[in-house]
Amino acid sequence: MEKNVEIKRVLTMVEIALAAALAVALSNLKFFHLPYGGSVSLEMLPIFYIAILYGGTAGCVAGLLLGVGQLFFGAYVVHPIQLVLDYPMAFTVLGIGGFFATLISMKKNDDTFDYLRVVLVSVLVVFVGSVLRYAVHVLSGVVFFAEYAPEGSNILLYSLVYNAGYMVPNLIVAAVLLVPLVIARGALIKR
Amino acid sequence: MPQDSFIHGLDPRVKFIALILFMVTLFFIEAPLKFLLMGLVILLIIQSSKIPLGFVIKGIIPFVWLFLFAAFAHFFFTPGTSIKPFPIWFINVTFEGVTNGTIITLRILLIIVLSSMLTLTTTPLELTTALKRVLSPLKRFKIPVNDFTMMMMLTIRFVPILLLEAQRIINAQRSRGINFETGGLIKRAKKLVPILIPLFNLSFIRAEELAIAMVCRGYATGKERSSFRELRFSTSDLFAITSVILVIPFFFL
Repeated sequence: MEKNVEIKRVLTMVEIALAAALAVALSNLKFFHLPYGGSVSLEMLPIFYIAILYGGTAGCVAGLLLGVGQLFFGAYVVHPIQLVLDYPMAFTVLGIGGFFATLISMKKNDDTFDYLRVVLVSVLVVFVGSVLRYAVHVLSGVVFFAEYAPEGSNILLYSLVYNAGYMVPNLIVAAVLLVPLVIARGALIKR
Repeated sequence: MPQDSFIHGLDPRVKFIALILFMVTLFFIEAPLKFLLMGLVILLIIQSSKIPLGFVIKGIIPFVWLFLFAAFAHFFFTPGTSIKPFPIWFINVTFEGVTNGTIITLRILLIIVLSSMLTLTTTPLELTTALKRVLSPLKRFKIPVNDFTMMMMLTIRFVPILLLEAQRIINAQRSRGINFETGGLIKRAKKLVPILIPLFNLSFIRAEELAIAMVCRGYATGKERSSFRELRFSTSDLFAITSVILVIPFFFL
């Protein structure tokens, strides 16, 4: 019995670690570019996935692993505070949506998925995570421009607009793709 | 890429501390001569790491717009004494603007080069080992540092494998006729589902096998582990850290 609990614990840890690895891998694949520059990447998906499956804490740990992993694989650093905000912080907050996901049960009584609820939970998790990540990037932008831009320029507005440019499409794509993934997971377990 | 230089062989902790010290220093210096000295120090680091200078410069190219933005913003929008032909109409270039712009552009440039030197000469696995040492004081607060670094190592170790896996699945679905290049945002996103589902499921099947294998080999959560590569503080590390400490006071003269 004791052994089974330990296997479960180790399995959860390994799944979180591999999800973060998948996220780092996906961040290196640019699937499509946006017409006005910038690109959509799917690195947030595995983090949201873990947040739905194992809750907020696991999601935040997966996000932290992703942030530190990206840092180690060669990040661009222009300011010490920007380093902390743009990498570990921005990705850790992605998992916070997971704390709310457990409030809504996605399963029906006969253990099948309730499609509408899966959509609801996915959108909630993606929305909370993305908005928080956006806020952290905006803050980081403000720190960066406060240091490097001349005084008297409208720093906050510029940071808000610039970061929205890639976060909004990322949010939409993540929400669209998370639903089939969560449902496919259910099919895998029943196997 | 060379992998056996003096810089590559240093203890990752030493490299990290040196990076932090130089970065903080960069925020305090303003005199052109000090920037020149810092540039020389960084050039010396690049030379002794045997990394071709062209490769380092290539890494800066994506940031050109950033330098231009920082430079031009200062050149044209800083109040002060105008340089001769200006102000023309509303365009004004001031003496203060040019100095500030140059200082700030140089500062961003040098910070980017410095931080890329750390990741170019240190493998992610070495960085994780260093992270384990740096975080170990947190064990006092009941934070599971060992488990976290084990996960970090797994993440780092599996990135190349999963990247290969992803490429394989993308090619497989392409050969079945998926065209990723057409359609709007949501339509294109939906085309990624046949890539993501196999990719996710393969990863999690792998996770299950890995977890069972780890438990069978005696892995237990929260226990102290020994590692294959032990970090050792060598004479060259001592030499490196002393030279950094000796050179830094020159920036504050």
